[in-house]
Formats: sequence, structure tokens, C-alpha cells
Amino acid sequence: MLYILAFIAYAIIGTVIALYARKGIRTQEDYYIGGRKIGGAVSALTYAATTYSAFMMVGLVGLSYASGVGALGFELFYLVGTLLLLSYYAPKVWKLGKEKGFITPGDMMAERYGSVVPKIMALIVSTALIPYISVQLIGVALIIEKTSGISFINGIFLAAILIAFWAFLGGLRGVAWTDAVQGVFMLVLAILAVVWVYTYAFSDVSFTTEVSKLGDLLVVPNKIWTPMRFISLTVPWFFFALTNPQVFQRLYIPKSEFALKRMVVLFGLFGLVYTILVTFLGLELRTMTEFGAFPIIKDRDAVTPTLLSLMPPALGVLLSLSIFAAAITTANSIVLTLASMISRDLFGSEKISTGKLLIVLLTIAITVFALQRPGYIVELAVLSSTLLLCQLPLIFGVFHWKIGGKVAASFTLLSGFSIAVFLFYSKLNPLSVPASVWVFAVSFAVFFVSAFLEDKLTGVKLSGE
Amino acid sequence: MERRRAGVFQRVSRTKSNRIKSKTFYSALPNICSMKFLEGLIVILAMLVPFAFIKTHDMLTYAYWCVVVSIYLAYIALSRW
Repeated sequence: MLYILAFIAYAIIGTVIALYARKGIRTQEDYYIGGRKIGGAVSALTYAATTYSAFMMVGLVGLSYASGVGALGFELFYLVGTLLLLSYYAPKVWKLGKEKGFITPGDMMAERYGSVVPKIMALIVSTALIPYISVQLIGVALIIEKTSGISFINGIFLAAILIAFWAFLGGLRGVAWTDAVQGVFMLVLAILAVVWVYTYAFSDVSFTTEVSKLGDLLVVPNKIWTPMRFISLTVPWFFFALTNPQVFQRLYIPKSEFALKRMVVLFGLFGLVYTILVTFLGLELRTMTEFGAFPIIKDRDAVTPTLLSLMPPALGVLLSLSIFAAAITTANSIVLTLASMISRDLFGSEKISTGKLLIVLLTIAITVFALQRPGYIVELAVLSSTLLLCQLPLIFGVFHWKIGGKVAASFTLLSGFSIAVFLFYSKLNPLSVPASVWVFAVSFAVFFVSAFLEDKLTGVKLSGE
Repeated sequence: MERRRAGVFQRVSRTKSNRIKSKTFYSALPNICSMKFLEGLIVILAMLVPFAFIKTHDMLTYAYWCVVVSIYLAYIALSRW
């Protein structure tokens, strides 16, 4: 009952914000990127809330519990990569976007590689991200089922309705404002969870003494975090800021360059604090297991649900709702971005109504996929990023290389994507090199070779005028 | 579709005139082999230190990574731009 009341309040607040945000939306620029008028703090919070999904409070807590400190390294490598890439590319992307009127990531690719490439990109990102969002929904629906008694199927439907409704109503501005509120909510609840666990378990015993019992879980590499495993998980996430369109598109939204830079710094701060809290929570729980204060959990995705069952009901409900919020903020941002890419890049539509229709259709697709409950949460999430890695040579090509046109770009996308799918489903691991590294290497190799051949065949020299 | 592309953007064809436009497009963009590349390399190497040099069974690896990222974030906030 408590959960249902909290959920109703949450849904009402979000809907009011989305309704307010819909005012003044006239063009696709308004609808998909907030008219390039979003302030730095809201941009940072929507960037963070979009990036940090239910994976953090479910997957990463469980990963820290099961594998130790390596989980922090994995997530902080992502953050360092994002800060590095954003501090370098974000101002350039923002300036180009403003100057040339870019709305989707595909618009930038069209400028460089022609209009076919964004169509292929739209298909690839849809294929990659629909499972990713579905996994979010599965995660939150399982938690809702455990904490509130709402069935798994009803949980999926509730999440799907809010995802579609808020994005449909307010576009990017609606998503950004609801993201901002939910981002703060996620952070506050993560702090409360860490503090509660600390006071619950470590008031009589010293954490610093007890944590040493974790032994090899406190160092890297260990039997779980082997160098290969670390590389295979880290490579796709390191380039997340450039390869994932829902965050790339957010580089267009700040109202000024100052707001953009503020966005990057505040996002970094949010990311650092949130990552520390979430991984520390996982280590706290694992330490508690060592002295019998928390049950031994074999399935790492069950760690957070078990914690929720131990918490006072009010705190458990709020933490559960914050996980739900994390999934919604990621999912509706992705749905809106996919709608913009399919609408503009694939169908060439200038109408907002096409995007709205696509939001509904995409949400239905995600719901159907989620109801099938596919595999393990971390692997599926990482597969999405691995699939998207094939875009990386094209993005670097825009900024650094003169070679490569539409043929090279198309070949790169198709070959990189095919390799990722083949390696994942065949479970092959050639030369013991992780699939993500293969996709990375093959994509760049194909780009350079096909760019060379393309330039030869079209009679244009590789460099110079 | 093509009208939109032609109106707002220039389609890339492999003609000399477009390559000149493309050159203008690149002129604002620095080379990847720069101080920023070096900066990235240093940060990544710093992040890899625990794999080789920190082997104590306490929170040192955890604290080390947090400090490295905090310093890098502070650098970006205060000195990068």
C-alpha cells in the first residue's frame, strides 16, 4: 500500500512536470533537443540520469558484492573515459550542432558521410538499445514485484506507460526536467541507503577492520576481475559518451558553451559521488555477509532486492522507487532519441507527430521484449555498448580524418555490427581476445581499408587538396 | 529528405569543391596527437596502477581510484577550459 501511494505521487509529479514542459513546442528542435535552451545544471542532471540507469543500484551493487573493488574500477574507467571525451569533443559537437542545425547524431554523420549512413545508424542503434531498455524494465519490474506485490507484468506495463507518456508529452524538455528531479532523488536515496546500512551493521564493529576479510576482492586483478574481463567490459563503456546516441544528442541541448562546460563538470561530480555510493554499498553488504549480518547471495542481481527486504518499509519503498526512476529516466531518454533518429534520419520526417507515433511504437516493442525476460543484466547492457562501438571510427573520422566517405562508413557500420552479433551468439572468443576488442579493432580496420579503396576507386587522393 | 539535407547541411560528395568545404570543416578541429591525447594516456595509466602496484587487503585500491578521478575532475573543472 505504501509503495502504491508513493508510486502515485511519483507519477503525478512527473506528469505535472511533463505537462508544463510541453508549452511552446513548435519545431523538432524544440521537441527533440529542448530548443537548445537547457541550462547547465538541468543538462548535467538529465545527462547523469540518462547515463546512470537501474544497472547502478541493481547491477553494480550486485557486481561490487560479488566481485569486489574491481567493480568500482570498471565504473570509474567509464567515468574517466567520458570526462576525457566530453572535455575534448563536447564543445566541438555543441558548436557544430548550433552552427549547422544538427538535431540527431545522424545529422552530423550526414554532413560528413551522406544521408545513407544515418539510416544505417538508426537501424543499428534501435537494434542495440531496445534490448538495453528492456533489461532496465525487467530489473525494475522484478524489484517492484518483490517490494510491493505488483506483479512482474503489471510492473512492466506501469514503467512502459510512464516512459511513453512523459516523453510523448514534453519531448526533451519534459524528459530533462523529470530527469533532473529524479536524478536528485536517486542521489539522495543512494546516500540514505549507504548511511542506513552503515548504522545498521557497523555501529558495533569496525568497517575498516571487517572489510579486510574480503581478501582478494579488495585488489585487482583477482580471479573474477582478470585483465581480459576488465578490458572486455571497459572498452565499450569507455567510449559510451560518443557511441550512445541518447547521451551524444544531449551535447546539443545546453543553452550556451558555458552551460555545456558546466554540464560536463556537474555530470562528472554526480557520476563520481553516485558511483562511490553504489559500489561502497555493495562492499558494505559483502562485508556484512562475512560476519553473518547479511545472507550469502549467489545471484548478484538479487543483492539489492534482499537489501530492500531488510530495510525499514518507508526507506525500502523510496529506494525501490529511486531504482524505478533510474530506469525510467534512462529509458525515456533513449526512446525519445530513437524516435528522433528513426523519424528524421530513417524516414526523413520533419513532423513532430511522426516522432510521437514512434515513441508509442518503440515503447510497445520494448514492452514485448521485456516480457520475454532475456538473459543476464550486465552482459546484455554491455552487449548494447559493444554493438554501438562500430560507430566510433565514423565519429573520429568526422573530427580527425579526411579519408572515408559513405561507402567506408556503411561498410564499417555493417561489419562491426555483424561481428558483434556473431561473437556474442556464437560465444566464440578468437585468440582469447574479448568480443568488444574485436569489434573495436575490426571496425577501425574496415574503416581504414574501405576508405583507402573508396578513395582509390573514386580517384581522390588520401590527403591534401 | 534530400531537401532537408540540402537546405540545412551540405551533402558530402567526393568533388574538389566539397573537399575544400570539408577542409574548412576540419580547420577548427585539433589533431588527436596533442597534449590532450597525452593527458588521456596519463589518466588511463594512473587508473591502471592498482593492477600492478596495490596489493593490500584494505580499501587502498578503492580510495586510490576515487582520488585519481577526483583530481582529474578538479583539473577539468578548474584548468581544462
